[in-house]
Amino acid sequence: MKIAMINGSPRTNSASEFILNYVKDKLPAESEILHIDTVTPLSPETVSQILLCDCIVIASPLYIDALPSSLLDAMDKICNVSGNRRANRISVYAVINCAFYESHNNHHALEIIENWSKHCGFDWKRGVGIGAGGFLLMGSTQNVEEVGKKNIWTFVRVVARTFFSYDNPFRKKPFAKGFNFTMQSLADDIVGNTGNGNVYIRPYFPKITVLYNLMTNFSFILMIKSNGLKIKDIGRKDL
Amino acid sequence: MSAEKVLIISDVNDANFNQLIKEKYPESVILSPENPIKPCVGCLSCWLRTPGKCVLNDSYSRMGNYMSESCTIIYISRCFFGGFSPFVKNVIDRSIAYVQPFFSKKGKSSGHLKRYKNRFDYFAVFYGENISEEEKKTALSLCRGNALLWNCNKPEVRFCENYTDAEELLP
Repeated sequence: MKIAMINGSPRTNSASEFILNYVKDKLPAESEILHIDTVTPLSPETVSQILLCDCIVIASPLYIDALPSSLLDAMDKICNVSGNRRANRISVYAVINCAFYESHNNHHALEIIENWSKHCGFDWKRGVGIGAGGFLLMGSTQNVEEVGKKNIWTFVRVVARTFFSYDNPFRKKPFAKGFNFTMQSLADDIVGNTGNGNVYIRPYFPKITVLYNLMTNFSFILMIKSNGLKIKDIGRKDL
Repeated sequence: MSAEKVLIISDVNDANFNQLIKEKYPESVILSPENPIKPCVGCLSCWLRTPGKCVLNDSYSRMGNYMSESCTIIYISRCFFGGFSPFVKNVIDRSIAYVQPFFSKKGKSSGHLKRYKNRFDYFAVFYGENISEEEKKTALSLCRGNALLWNCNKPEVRFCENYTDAEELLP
């Protein structure tokens, strides 16, 4: 089975890349995966290769309620030549992650991909919306280094992150809304060419948005201080 | 209305059309593909390294400032499957410096803390042949979401077949 995995994020080591690798690990070893990033505009050769695939999986961050412009550009190029596709309809799956807690924010992005799929003559199967996407990269040492100094607050953050992470190794009981469960079911859908309806999942973090926002805002303060700026600089106006 | 500062973000690459718009809004800034734009790289420098300003070197590094000085912002875009076209969305992606990074709860959703005091009027025109009802529904809901993010007034959204019809729909 040939699968085109399109990463809509322009960042390196992004949550979208993490998602695609996570799903790839759950696919059969004999699957042929075509990795596409949208940092550079797609060449006509790459578009042709995508159109020879059985399935397209798009993982993307949510940028201002919708998709990053470089991913839209890639979708535009694919759509323009989709008339040259094979007779079999290409199945489309998408996973969108946003920074806000409420995963339902991702629905516009999923609708745009669904509308695009239908226009291209593809077979839209299923979408997944993930809230608090930053949690997906929790526990990695890279994020700890980004914070800067290693002090008590770094320790608190690492512990909190590990406990609340999507893939917490200490939580053995699978949750219906869990990330691992959802990605396994997505991989099963890809292999079986099935899928019906969108699913929205949230992290294990308590459903208290104010608390989540407080924690995220605290992270922003730590990041700006590690960049050598003061807290008051965050609200600086460009006049 | 015509004397107020209007920011127009349009994907139309037609000098005649832009001239018409300029005559309608003399005090306007028109951002169109005539000025090439670099895609947002997601570095968050506009929030965390050079707050309020984008570090990419092109004509779009001061979107926060442009938006803060506008009374009305008009988006003219091909209806891209219920969203904005790649060019217009690129301009929007580069605009997050208009708000601060801090998350704040707005009713049932979340948004960002304001950086500037102004509140602009949000107006969007989507053009395209055979825009489906699903696409219109997505576009309308998307604009409402954007307006919440930018802390601006309730959006006005219109649809038409060709960009040449857009001019008479504008406020």
